[in-house]
Amino acid sequence: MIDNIKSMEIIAQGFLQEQKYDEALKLFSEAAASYQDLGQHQQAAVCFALAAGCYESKAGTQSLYYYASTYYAKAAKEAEASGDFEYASMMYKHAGICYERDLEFVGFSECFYLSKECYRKSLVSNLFNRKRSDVFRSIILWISLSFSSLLWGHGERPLRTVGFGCFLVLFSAFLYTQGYFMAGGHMHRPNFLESIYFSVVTITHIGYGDIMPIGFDKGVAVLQEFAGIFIMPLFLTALCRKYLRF
Amino acid sequence: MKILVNRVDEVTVVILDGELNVDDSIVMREAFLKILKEGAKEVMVDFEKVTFIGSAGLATLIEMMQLLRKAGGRLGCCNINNSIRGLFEITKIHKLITIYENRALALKSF
Repeated sequence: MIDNIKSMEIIAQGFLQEQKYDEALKLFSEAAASYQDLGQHQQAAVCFALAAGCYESKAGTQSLYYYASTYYAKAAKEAEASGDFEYASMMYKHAGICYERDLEFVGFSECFYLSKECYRKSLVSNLFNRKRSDVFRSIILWISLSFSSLLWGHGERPLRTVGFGCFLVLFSAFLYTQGYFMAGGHMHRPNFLESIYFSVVTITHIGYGDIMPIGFDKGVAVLQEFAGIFIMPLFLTALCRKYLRF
Repeated sequence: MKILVNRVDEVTVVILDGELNVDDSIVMREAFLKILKEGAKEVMVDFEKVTFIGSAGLATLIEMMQLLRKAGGRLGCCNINNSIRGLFEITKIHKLITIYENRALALKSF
């Protein structure tokens, strides 16, 4: 099989030099499939990338970018399987670029998200083997990417913002039950339902003023309001970014 | 394929000669691992005499680049002909590995 792959690649590269992209990409795809069968994922990733490059090179019409992107995505998956997240991230990024050129925004969105996730994973896998200054930079980058992933899926998962908002409302409500509210001139320990009401009023910046937090709850309310400043615009931005493309 | 390893100051120069296909990439990988074991951090691969490189060779280069990076070093390539440069560009490897026009420039930049 190895000899077969070797000859396939030699012929394919010949076709590539002669700009016979159809023939070249067919052979590169076959070589990639053979490498997949052998469990050699990194080699399969490179072959898929070569096939994708053939499609991209011959793309004069939009539909060919779609094929290029599917091959870049395959290359990315193989690179992921081999544990090479940096190359996988780059392949997903190029898959995303080709999907965007083809006006295929669902694919673009998915590939953009996966590219960021692979990059985040690559930061972890190389973290402790970098120079000291790079380690600090990588940790900061990893934290910000992880937060971005959790909060809004790098701008491609608006429902995550809703989920995060709901979590924040419930968590803050729980914290409010540990403190005191002032309502109608009386100070009392709120029950969970009242806390949820106050939590929603606070995070949405409505602030009716019928309930006032006291002491510890005041601090929680300030933090919740501050988080609310970011959550609302993030949700709207992610929603517009994802759905206004269509 | 012939592999010649030289040392110029802190840089280990790997001169490849011949075709770099599936079998040769295994030999190249072993040579690289030996260099890494010896503690090399800065590795420059000279492609002047390379006539062909297959996907296995490209995959080995990516793997070596990562191993070197993990060890706190870096990998560079020089004297790459146009057809091999084209393959580097198609597979986007040129974004991971620094390519230099010639060895002198490469050694100066390292």
